[in-house]
Amino acid sequence: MGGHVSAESMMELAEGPGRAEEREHVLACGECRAQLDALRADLGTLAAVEVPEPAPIYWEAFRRQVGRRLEAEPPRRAWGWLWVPALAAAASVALWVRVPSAGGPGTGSAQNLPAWSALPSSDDDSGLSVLQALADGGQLSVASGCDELAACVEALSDADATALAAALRGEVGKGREL
Amino acid sequence: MTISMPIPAGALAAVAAARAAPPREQEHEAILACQRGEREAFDRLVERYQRAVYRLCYRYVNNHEDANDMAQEAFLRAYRAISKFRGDSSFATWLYRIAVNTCLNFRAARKPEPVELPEALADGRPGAAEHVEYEQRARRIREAVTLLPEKQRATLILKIYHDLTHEEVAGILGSTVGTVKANLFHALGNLRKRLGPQAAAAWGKE
Repeated sequence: MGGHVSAESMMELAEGPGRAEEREHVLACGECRAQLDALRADLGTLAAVEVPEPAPIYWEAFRRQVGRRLEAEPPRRAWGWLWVPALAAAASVALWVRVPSAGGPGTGSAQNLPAWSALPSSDDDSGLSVLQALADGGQLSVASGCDELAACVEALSDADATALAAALRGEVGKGREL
Repeated sequence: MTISMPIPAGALAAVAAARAAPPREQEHEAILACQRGEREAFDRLVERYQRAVYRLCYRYVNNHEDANDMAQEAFLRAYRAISKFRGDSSFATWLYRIAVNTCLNFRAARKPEPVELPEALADGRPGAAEHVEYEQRARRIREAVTLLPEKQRATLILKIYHDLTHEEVAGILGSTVGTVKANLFHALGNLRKRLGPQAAAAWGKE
């Protein structure tokens, strides 16, 4: 082989057997031999350098502190579990949004909904969670105080209604099953 | 020689539980629980990895306060991102990647803690002087590590102190195995230069 052993190959020799060709070179080359000896010694010495161990009580305090900070975090939304009921509700919303827009401006009120509307009751309204999640994500603004899906959707601006429809189309387009 | 001593019942129960569910399985269950939104399950992961993450952070900054802050921050980031963990790598590797990124984004605000030599030297117990000498040497080396270029520092810490393979280190740092080896080589060379001509002796060849 021409020249000395490369950095990469030198580390292979220092940490393990390396390749036969380089081993032979090192045996014949004093410079590489010295470098390899130094690397092996350095690795051994470094491995022996510990960090100061905190008092045993520290670890319990550490866990408690992480726990406290997690409690202060907003609840993490388990999106994977939300999508099935969410899409069911969303399909209803999409249908409902389309009906008033066909009737022209000013006709989009809850009174236009048929009595058999598939919208869930406010007590079991997973669609609200979806709207809130989209709002939390900055994708649309939901009026404060609305506690029914229909009222929340009705209060959406045209831009937000479009954003909601786009979000729903995007999820349906990913092939999620209802 | 064998040592005989009474074993508390609680300890036996803990051992039985540990045997019933190997650590990897417990870890997997905890991860799944976290992904379902069960925040308490994360505590088990913190307990399992807090030492490793703290030590990784400590080697970056060489002081307890910053290491504590960074380690906590790394766990918070891991919790926020745990829904994205798919098991493509081990959880440890995934967590170390987060910890390394936390460290890389962190700008140390505190200087390394001074070594309390006078008190230590005043200790008249056998071996105290050797202990002080070791601490001085270890501290000097740890400080030199914190001054390495970031990639070299990360490579050296992960490879030497966390027993990761070159492939795992490459995965964490987003580089290649060849780069990891070269970075480690240059890190060792830089440390030797930084520690001066007496390095060989000071590094434990006596």
